[in-house]
Amino acid sequence: MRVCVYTGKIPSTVFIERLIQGLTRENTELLLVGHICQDPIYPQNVKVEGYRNKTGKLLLFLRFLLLFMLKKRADWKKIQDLIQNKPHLNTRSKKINWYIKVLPVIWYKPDIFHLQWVKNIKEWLFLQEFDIKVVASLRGAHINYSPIASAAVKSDYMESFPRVDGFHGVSKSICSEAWKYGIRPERCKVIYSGLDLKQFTYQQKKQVSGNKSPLRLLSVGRPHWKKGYMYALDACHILQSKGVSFTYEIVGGISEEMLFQIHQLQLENITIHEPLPFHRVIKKICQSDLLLLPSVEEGIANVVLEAMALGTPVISTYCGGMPEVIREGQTGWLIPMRDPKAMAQKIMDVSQKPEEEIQQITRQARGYIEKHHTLATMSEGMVALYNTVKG
Amino acid sequence: MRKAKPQIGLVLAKTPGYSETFFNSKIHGLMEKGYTVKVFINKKVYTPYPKNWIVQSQPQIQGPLILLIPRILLKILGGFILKPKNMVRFWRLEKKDQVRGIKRILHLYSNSHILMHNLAWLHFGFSTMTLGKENVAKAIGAKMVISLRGYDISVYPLKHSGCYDRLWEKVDKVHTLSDDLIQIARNFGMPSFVKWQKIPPAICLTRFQNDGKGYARLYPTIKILSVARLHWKKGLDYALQAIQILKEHGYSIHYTIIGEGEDWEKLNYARYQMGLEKEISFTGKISHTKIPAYMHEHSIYLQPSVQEGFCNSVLEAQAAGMLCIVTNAEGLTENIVDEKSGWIVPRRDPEAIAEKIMALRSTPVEELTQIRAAAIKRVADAFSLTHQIEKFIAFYQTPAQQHG
Repeated sequence: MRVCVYTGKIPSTVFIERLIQGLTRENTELLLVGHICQDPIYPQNVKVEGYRNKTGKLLLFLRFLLLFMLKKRADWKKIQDLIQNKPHLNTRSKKINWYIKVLPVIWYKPDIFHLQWVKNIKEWLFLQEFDIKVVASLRGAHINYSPIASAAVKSDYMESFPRVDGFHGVSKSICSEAWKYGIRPERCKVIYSGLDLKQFTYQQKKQVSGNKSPLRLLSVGRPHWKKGYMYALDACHILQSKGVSFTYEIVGGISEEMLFQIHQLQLENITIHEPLPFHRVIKKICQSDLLLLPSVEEGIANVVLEAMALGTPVISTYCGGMPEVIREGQTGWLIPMRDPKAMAQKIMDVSQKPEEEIQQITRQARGYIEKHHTLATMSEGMVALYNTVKG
Repeated sequence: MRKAKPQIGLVLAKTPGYSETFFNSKIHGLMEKGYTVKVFINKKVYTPYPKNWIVQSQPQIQGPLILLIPRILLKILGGFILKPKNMVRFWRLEKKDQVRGIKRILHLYSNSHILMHNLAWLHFGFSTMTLGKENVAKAIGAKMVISLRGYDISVYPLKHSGCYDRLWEKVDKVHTLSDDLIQIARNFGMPSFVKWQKIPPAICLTRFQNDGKGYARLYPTIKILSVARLHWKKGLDYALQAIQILKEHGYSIHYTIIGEGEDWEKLNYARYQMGLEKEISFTGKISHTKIPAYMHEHSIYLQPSVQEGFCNSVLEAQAAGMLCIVTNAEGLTENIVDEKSGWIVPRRDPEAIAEKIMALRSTPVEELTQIRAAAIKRVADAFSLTHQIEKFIAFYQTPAQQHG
């Protein structure tokens, strides 16, 4: 089976690269199209049609133009007819940019075109006219708040979703959110993100809170409002005022709002790191007593899966698909969104728990990941979805 | 012969918009009293302004180098011909401050619009406006004044440590809207010897007065209003949570937020997640002329800010006879006298906001009427445009701190 995994960037985010890695082990031929930001290292069954700069872009366009003119004139004519119905492509550069995106896909005619960011779904449905099935992934913000914030996105979804051949949802919660836009439930399959567990060695925590050393809290994620850091910092203020000895590290950068809040609340022992390379994030997670996810919007946060695999206990908000992986008191702990008091209280409660209870929870969390979030379960699930769509 | 009144230069980012009462009224008022006011703006974005204003915009450093370099050289040459003393003084002061090479030339070019004038006072409307202009006042023989504004003094120095070090060495006098802002400026390096004077903002009372139409009641629905840019410093997140608490307690409420801004997506999503679509309306931007009508339709005005210089909207709401609840964010504590002209609650505390609103519901009407009346009187007594102009005239007549 030939599949085009499309994000527009090569390589893409960590979790999409994990999907690509998983699919290469499933005897699928993969096609990646877009802007090559770094030299990619992929196995032989991955074909890359990309460009690094403007010259590369032009050369790519000219090569495919020539190929279509020489070998697939009928398809070229069809493409020309299609472009007539796209009034937004009203300048030469817009047309060329569109050709660069679509020509490699139409040339290779994959069985499945898998769009990773659903916001642009309307642009890609025309591929069905070339007998290419279109599958879209439902991930975080694109479903959870983009259509709520923008009436135009909502209208695009309402119009396009019923026509899409298949959907991959990263959680049950996100699939049910997407039903509002006319998805037929039987076309939507939940496939959980997978980790390459060889990279995540489980380390049993001896203690969450040392009596002598401060409690080490960690959050990982960019300083975007959906990550809910303002509530975590308010919770730190409560902890500080109650005399709890703790440190809180955030990996991913700082916003103006966070900077001001830390200063205004005179929070001590808060350390902010700019985004760190993967191996250093893993090290930070291992060194922490608790991973805190204060988000107000998530599909399923990958960093939580990673912490669970590594044996670091997790406190997460009850947001998006998080309750599907964090079962209260079994694989971690859940707190309401936007509730610093509950967050602070839960941190204090967990820090008082006996070592055996913590170890049992982290073992259960690791077990859960081994069962539901491996590369194999993800790629097998994805291939099954592709097969269903292909018919 | 009458002595000519001193010329005042006002440095702003752009010409003030219609709703920016503070600068508009100040410029008009000073001109009416016979002062010459020259407005220097940083960007060539003109909001329409009255014909009798003198407005000069800063030369821009942009465009292809082949055109920019001759433009810079011509401008500087012109400056040296027309105002050689000012230009040379500025050059020497910058040299003394060890501003080097091309940066010094660029400062000379981008400040040339001010260096062409001889003024008595050069008043920077925002402290960030002084960056790269620290020596301009002294070069033209003027006294340097800055106005402390919320964001510029509370947030900007956190991101740019030591950004005002040069400013504190040069400034002659500081204008503040509230005592809290002075304290913050001190924390960011303002020396104790720098003279300062508090002149709070002022509003046009007549535009907001509720001419006997009767005030909006707290029954059956509590109608709450905020006029605020959708920005994190306005603390609207906390207000939304307060509304959720009120809803959970079974109150019938409606909260209207007038304003637009970068946090719309965040707040809109919070409203959706909390299931408050019926209870909360975002109107977007509304013309300033329509705001009084909104104020008369709502009973409670809420200012949930986490950072605030002073806040004109709270003064306007008081003038409109609204029951005002504000947080204790900086200047707001001087805007409202707690329990006398409104109520002050701790910032970042949705429960405190909700509890205060619930308490108002059970407060006797007579008591609320007293508070409304006290607020209207206090705004009329202490925050009128006439008083503000008088204070500014006195401000410019008082000698400034002398620097060696």
